[in-house]
Amino acid sequence: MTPTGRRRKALLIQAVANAGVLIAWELLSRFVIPPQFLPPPSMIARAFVTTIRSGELPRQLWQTTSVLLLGFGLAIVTGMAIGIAMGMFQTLRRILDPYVNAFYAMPTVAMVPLVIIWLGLGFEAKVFLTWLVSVFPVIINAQIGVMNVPPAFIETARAFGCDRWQLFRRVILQAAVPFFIAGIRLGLGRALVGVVVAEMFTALTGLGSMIVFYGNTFRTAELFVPMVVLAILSIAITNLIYRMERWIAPWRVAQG
Amino acid sequence: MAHSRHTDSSSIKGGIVLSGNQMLQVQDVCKTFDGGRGALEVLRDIRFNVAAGEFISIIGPSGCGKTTLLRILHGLEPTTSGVVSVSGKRVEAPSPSSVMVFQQFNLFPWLTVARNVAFGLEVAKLAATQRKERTDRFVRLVGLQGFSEHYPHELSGGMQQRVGLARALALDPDVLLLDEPFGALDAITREQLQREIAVILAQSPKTVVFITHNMDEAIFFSDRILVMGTRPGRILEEVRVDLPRPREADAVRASREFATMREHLWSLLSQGDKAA
Repeated sequence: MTPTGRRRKALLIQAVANAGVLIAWELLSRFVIPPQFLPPPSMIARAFVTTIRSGELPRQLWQTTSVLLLGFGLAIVTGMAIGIAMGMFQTLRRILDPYVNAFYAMPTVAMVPLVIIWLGLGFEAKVFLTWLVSVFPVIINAQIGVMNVPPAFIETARAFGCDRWQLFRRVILQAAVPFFIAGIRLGLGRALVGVVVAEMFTALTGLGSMIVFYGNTFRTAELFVPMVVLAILSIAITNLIYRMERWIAPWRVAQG
Repeated sequence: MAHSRHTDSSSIKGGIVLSGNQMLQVQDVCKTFDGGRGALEVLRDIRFNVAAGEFISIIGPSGCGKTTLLRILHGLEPTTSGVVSVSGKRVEAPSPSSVMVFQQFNLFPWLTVARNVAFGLEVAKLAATQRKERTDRFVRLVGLQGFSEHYPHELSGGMQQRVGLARALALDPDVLLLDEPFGALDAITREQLQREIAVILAQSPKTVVFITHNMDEAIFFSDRILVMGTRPGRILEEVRVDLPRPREADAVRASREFATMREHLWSLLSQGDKAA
């Protein structure tokens, strides 16, 4: 069979299997499991339609995304800068290392009360929490990337007369790109958790507020809406990062 | 340097006649590494000259310090004592006057073939139009036209080493340093690339220092061969190769001089090992 034929067959099998799961779920939820426990897919679909029509879903999604983009965006910028600096300067690394490791290891929720005391319950507190939980993987990976440039590249750069700045810009920053991307990818996972935690534990907003509200009121079908949206959001941003990597470092993706 | 192939006309470099002048001078170079278990003497009293346009090989068993010597010639490694100079100027750090081709190619995987070839030119801040012209010329010279926009991982080992060679030649160095450039290639690719390099060097002669542990390669390319022994690394003997040029690999290998020389080199190398 040709590769496209094999691909088509794989897709067909997937589609049939997914349809089977959905049908089985629908039947189970209608006739066996009470819908408060597990609503059928058709009810969840209807909940999607009503929350979109009422404007609730678009509004909350925008709130979550704006916190996520700002908090995580700042985490990428500051994390890369701090991580690269730590990788380049040993003294700075010695000073900051214990703090970075401590904050990286600490569970997110433990920091919520302190952040509330500092910044209140509003937008700033949420952005700060998102930044706080996602910045450390970015820092750590940037630092490792800068420190682990293969010696052969550094030697070659010196052999071709690079000065310190040229070595940094033309070789170290380039060779570390895969680590930068890895840090961003890890940071994204934590940023998503950070946003939702922030929305559930400070002033209720965004998808986090939908989760809390529909959970507390046992409206399980509506509860599934923000959950599904968060999954899609996560996949979409991961995909975006993959595309970004292919654009910045085509050599890397092709290498696998 | 009557035996060098280019003493007559091609040793004129930049309008200055260098005949009788040395392009590369190595004076009493010693190198000792201070390790955890005390000092390790790697090189002792290395002394030789290379005339402009001359091709010399440094051959020796592994661990005789030939790569360290090459790094010293390039300025990547300081000497413990002794002086290296290129065109009369003392070498203390890498400069574009000498350029290295590495055994493992050491291409930058994030740069295309063209950008790899242009690397030294970009570092030297050559004007864009000149850079482009030179890059194209040297990509063509090594037969990689059509591959300019490829990345190194898309090329075979032999092609990657051609990029390494083009990257070095593009800088138009006074001295070309080759660190076992065929060492990482399979036998057939090795042979092909050797022939091509011989052609390239015949077209644009260079002063070359070639590190190898392959006797055939050394004889095929060289005007002189420096045979090194181990512990500490030192020059055992200097062997002249008076085979006429241009040389043809098969003819060279079939000649009686080749057999005699090979035997002589072999006896030197195996002695050097026993002495150690």
